[in-house]
Amino acid sequence: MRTGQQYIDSLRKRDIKVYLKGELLESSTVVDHPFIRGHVASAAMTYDLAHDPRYEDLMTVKSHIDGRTINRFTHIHQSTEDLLKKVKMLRMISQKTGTCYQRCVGFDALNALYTVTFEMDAKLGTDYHKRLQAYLEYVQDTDIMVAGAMTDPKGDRSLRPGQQADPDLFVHVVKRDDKGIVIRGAKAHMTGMVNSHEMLIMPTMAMAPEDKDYAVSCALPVDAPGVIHIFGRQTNDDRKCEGDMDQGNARYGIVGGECLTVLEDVFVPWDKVFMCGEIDYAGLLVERFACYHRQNYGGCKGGVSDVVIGAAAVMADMSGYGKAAHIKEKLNEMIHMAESLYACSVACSAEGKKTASGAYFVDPLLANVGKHNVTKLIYDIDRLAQDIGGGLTATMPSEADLRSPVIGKYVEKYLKGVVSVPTEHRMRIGRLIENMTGGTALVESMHGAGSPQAQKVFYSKLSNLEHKKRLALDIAGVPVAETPKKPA
Amino acid sequence: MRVGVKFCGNCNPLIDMGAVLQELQAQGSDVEFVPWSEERYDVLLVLSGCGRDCATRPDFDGRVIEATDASVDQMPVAATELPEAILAVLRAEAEHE
Ligand SMILES: Cc1cc2nc3c(=O)[nH]c(=O)nc-3n(C[C@H](O)[C@H](O)[C@H](O)COP(=O)(O)OP(=O)(O)OC[C@H]3O[C@@H](n4cnc5c(N)ncnc54)[C@H](O)[C@@H]3O)c2cc1C
Repeated sequence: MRTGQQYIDSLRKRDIKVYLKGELLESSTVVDHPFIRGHVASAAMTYDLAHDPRYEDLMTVKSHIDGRTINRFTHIHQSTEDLLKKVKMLRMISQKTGTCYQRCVGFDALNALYTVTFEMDAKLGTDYHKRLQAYLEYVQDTDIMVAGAMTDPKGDRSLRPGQQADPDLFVHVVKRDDKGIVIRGAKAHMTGMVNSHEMLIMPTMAMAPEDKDYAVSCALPVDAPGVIHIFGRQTNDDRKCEGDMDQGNARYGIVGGECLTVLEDVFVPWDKVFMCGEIDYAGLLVERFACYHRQNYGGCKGGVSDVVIGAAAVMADMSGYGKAAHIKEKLNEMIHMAESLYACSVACSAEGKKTASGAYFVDPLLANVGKHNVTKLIYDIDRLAQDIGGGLTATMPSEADLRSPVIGKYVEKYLKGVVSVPTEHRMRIGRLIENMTGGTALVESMHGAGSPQAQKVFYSKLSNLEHKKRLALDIAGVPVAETPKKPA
Repeated sequence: MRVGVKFCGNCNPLIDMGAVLQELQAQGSDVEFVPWSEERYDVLLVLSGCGRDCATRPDFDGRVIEATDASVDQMPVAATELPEAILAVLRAEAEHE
C-alpha cells in the first residue's frame, strides 16, 4: 500500500495535460498548483490513513483475490460488513478533510463493473470479467487512484446520443481493430481526475440499439495521448492564491477539484475494454454504479456535516450565544438530519446482497432514498449553520485586512466576540462555515451521484405502489380484484 | 425430485411468491414441492419477495436455489418469466443428479 507521499510523488511522473484558466500547466507540478494541491492533500489522506493503526480496520481489508492486505478503496465488497465498513470509512475520512477525497468514484466503478461484466459474460459468452479481474489485480498491486468517468456532456437532454447534432456529446467508439478501440467525446464534472493515475469510462445512460457505439466502458491512463483536462472554477477559488485564512479549508479545499476531460481519439487496447456495444448492459452498469455511489452520501456527507455542526456550535460559543435555547435546538436539528442521512447509508449496506459475481451490492431502494435526502437535508443543515454563523460569514474583511498595520487593529477590535477568544479564531471558523455551506460545496449534494429526479425515478420504480394499494383495500374491507403478480 | 420451499417472510414484497409457487406446481408436474421443514428433499428453493433475499437459511447440505422478484441464483430474470426460469434450474439440477 502506498503512503500519501508516495502517491503524490507518483503523480509527478505523469505526462498529464491540465489546462487551468486557459494555461497548460507543467505536468510534474500540477499537484502543486494552488487550485489543485488541496484536492491532492485530501486524496493523499486515503493513503496515509491506511497506515495508521487507529484506522486500519476501516481503511484496509484482505483482498479476495490473494488475501493480501490492500487499501479498501481498491476492494471488491465481499459481505454486507464490507459495505458497512465502506460507509463508516467515508464518514471518518470526511471528518478529517471536511471535503471530498475523490477516491470513492473509481472504487464504485470497479465494483459496478465487477458485477456487470460477470453477468454479461454468463449471458453473452464474452470475456470482459477476466479482463476486469486482471485490471483489478493491477489496481490492487499498484494502489493507484482511479477516477470514475460516467457523466457525458449530453448536449440537448431531450435527444438520445445518436440524435445529437454533434455526435461527440457522448463518449463513443470511432474505430475498432484487432488491437483495440479508439474513443472520442468528453466526460464532465470529473472528480479527482487531475490527481488520479487512471480513469474508468462508463456509459452515462441506458442505450438503444442505434446507440451501440456509445455503450462503451474501458480503463485508460489520465495522461494517455489525446486526453486533455480542463480544470473547473469554484466559488472564491482565487483566494487559493492568497493566504490560507480566507479559504476556510486551505488544506483540503472544496468538493473534489472537478474538471472537464476531453477524449480526442484515444486508443484503448482490448484488454482494458469492459463493454463495447452490449447495449442491454449499459443501463444495468449505470444502475449498479449509481446505487453504489448513492450509498456513499450518508457516510461522506454525514462526516462533512459533523464538521459543519461543530463549526456552528463553536461559532455560537465564540460569539456568546452557545447556551441559548434556540441555538441548542438548531444544533439538535442538524444532528438529527446528519444521523438520518447516515442511517440510510447504513441501512442500504445492511440490506445489501450477494450478486452472481460474488461481490455484494447495496439495497437500491434505500440507497436512492438516502441520496435523495442528501439533496435536501444538506441544504437544511447548511441553512442552520448560516443562521447560527451570523452575517459575518458573508461580509467579513480579509486576512490581509486583519494583518494590516494600519487597519488590522479595527478588524481585531470589531470582529471580536467573547473576550477570551482571539478574533482570528472566530474569523477562521466563520470562513469555514462560508466555505462549507455555500456555492460549489452545496451543488455537489444536489447533483453528485445524479440529480434528485434520477433517485426519485429509481425509488418510485422499486416501491411497489400497487402492493400498498392492495394493503389499503384489504384493511378498508374493499374487495381486492384478482391480485396481479407484479404491478404493470 | 423433491424440492423444499422456504419463503422469506414477505415484509414488503415486490412479487406474490405464493402465486409463483402455485404456478410452479401447475407447470412442474415432474417436481414435488414440500415445505422446507419436511425431513427429506433434494433441493432447497428460497422464494424472496424482493431483492434483499433475507430469508434465514435452514441447515441443509444440498443445492440451494434462490429466487427473488428479479433474479434466480443472482442472475437477472424478468418477473413474468420467473416460474419458467426456476423450473429450468430445477430440471437442470435433476438431470445433473
Ligand atoms: C461536484 C460534482 C462532482 C461530480 N463528480 C462526478 C464524477 O466523478 N464522475 C461522474 O461521472 N460524474 C460526476 N458528477 C456528475 C453528476 O453525476 C451529474 O452532475 C448529474 O448526473 C447530473 O447531470 P448534469 O450535471 O449533466 O445535469 P443535467 O442532467 O443537465 O440535469 C439538470 C436538470 O435537468 C433535469 N434533466 C436532465 N435531463 C433531463 C431529461 N431528459 N428530461 C427531463 N429533465 C431532465 C435533471 O433532472 C436536473 O433537474 C459530479 C457532479 C458534481 C456537481
